[in-house]
Amino acid sequence: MITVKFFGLISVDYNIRQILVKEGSVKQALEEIRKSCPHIPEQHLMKALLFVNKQHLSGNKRFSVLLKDGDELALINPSSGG
Amino acid sequence: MFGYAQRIATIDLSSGIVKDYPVSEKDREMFLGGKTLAAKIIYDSFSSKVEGFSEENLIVITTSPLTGSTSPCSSRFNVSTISPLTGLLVSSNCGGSFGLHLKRAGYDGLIICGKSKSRVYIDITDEIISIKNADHLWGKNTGEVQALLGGKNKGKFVIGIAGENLVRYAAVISDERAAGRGGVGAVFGYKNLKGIVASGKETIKKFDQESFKKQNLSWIKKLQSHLLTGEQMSKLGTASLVSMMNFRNLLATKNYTSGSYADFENINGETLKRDYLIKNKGCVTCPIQCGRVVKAYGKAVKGPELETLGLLGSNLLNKDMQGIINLNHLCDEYGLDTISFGSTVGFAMELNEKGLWNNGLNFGECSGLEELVKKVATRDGIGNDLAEGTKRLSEKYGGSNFAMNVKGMELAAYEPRAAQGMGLGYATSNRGGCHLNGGYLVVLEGLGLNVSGKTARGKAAYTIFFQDLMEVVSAGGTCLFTTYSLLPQALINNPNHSLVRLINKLIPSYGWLVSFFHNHSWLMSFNLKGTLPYPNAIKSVTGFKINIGNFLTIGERGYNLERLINIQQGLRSSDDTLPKRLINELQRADDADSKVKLEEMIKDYYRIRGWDEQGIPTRRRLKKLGLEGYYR
Repeated sequence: MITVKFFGLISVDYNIRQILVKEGSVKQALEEIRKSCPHIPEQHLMKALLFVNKQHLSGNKRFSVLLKDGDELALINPSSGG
Repeated sequence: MFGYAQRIATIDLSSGIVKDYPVSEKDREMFLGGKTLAAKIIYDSFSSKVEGFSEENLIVITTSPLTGSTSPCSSRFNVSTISPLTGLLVSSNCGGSFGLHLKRAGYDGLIICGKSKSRVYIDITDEIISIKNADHLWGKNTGEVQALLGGKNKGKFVIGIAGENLVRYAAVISDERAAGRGGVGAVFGYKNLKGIVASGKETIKKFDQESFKKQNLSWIKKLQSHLLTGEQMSKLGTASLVSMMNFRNLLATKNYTSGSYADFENINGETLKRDYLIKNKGCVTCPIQCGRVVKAYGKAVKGPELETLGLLGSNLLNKDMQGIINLNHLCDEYGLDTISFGSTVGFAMELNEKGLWNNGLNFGECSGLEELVKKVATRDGIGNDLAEGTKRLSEKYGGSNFAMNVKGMELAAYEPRAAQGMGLGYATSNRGGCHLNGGYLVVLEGLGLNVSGKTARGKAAYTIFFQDLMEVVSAGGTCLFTTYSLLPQALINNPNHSLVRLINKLIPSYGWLVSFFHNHSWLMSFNLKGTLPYPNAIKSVTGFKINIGNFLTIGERGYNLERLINIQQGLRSSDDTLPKRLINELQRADDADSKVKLEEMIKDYYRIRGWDEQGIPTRRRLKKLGLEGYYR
């Protein structure tokens, strides 16, 4: 299973810390999140920065990255100011 | 004159004499207020090097034209002195209400000189300034002292036990906000000054009240509608950065041996909000409301900021959020800078780990830290060594390569090997290892925008731009957090959009353009409504003919003047550096870019600043800034 963790505003606004999804691509993981968490608007999911095992995924190819059992996918909103 | 109380008082603690300090209208227009005006006063007062702990040293407290004007986030005031931690100029900014009350008492600022023979505090009203006996306040913490000094209609600015005991990073507290950095509290203590209390009913006239009101409304709207200042900071506070910093390898961990912490979820902003937050709050006239109210020792207190979570959390491998909250509160009460305290303890832990100083402090074993705060504040046992800060500790026990300070001031919680511009900012900051005075370029490098932190390209120009911007925003009297609303929302909100990714990629290539405008600021002799609100706000309050170009020039002027004071204090270009760990050791073995490429950036930095190879502002640059005659 893949652990999906939520950070920043997406976490506090939708009161969600983490869920588990099946192995597959990042795109499939996002679709599963959408089904499990229908209260999170799709645009908020799409705007979040994605990290797999702490590696930032950017670019359109990020959706095709394959996630293996034990991987951790993190969704986080941009933040600043300290 | 509009926007100012028009009086600055000099208070001589040695003789008890109080007199007015002359400041001309031209000086006010050139230096505005806050830290830049304080630099002008200090430069004019010292003709040679002055020690932090000496009767000659001054404490210069300055407000700004926007202080008390009701413009957003304008309760700020500044305190400058020669730091006993760095030996250089330090200016520390505070959001407590003291500045507002000082202005209501009829003063734009105070210059405190000399040294009292007995323990005193200063009482300022709109009628008289009195130096009063403080025996009954000595030995007391900041909360109790403020309670003893009076009610809600008074502004207080006091030290705790740490300041009395000359801890080199002792803070001064107003309400629950700290002028934390650089040991200003110790200079208070050295002068036997426990605190200052101010009250009055004077009002400051504005040049154009109608225009000010109009601009105020649109500025507040801008702050409240921006993702960072309107949502993220109010909901999560500065603590919101912990998670992103961890993913970006920016979170100082285990005395900066790493940029990420396995247990960061225990100490991040999300956990603080879910499990500890009572409510959020802000300084006077602040629509951002980034402050946290949490519980410590059974009462509601100020919650920890990002810096505190980093330095007392990940930096010590401390995952106990309640423990950090308690430590934060104790540091405020004793009057200690949490950044320098945390960094010094982290350094001591590594010294112990390496067998260089057998002090009993270990990473991850943090249950005894509450007792250690007291030991440092009272200089008891190992607390006496820790009270000296990392630089002096390294001189005594070794380990200078991993004593995480610049020019003697401990670094903030941003690990710069993942953010080159932040590294350059730390190295060149006038007050030492400070993220804000360093320009906070990390705002482009992963916290805000997503410009690569690995590249050094263009970073010198951007660092200079942000250093000067921070300088003048502070001089004007506004909280630096308002500057985050200047970042285009479209770029922050849509980090995955292909156009936004392209812009982030291109930004380093346009350093030359930023550099061009820095050197030709007259080309920006205009105001853009809604883009940069500060010049318009200052204009409507003071009547000064101020635009974007000369606004930024005030920042540059201040930055250069502070540099001149530091050079007089003995600063050399070799001091514009970082701890060896950050320059020579890779943060991540598999990433050859994960160290700070300082040498590559610093030459550009000097060149764009108009400084010579020794890092000294040239006569030509000083003339351009209206600082002819300031070259000694």
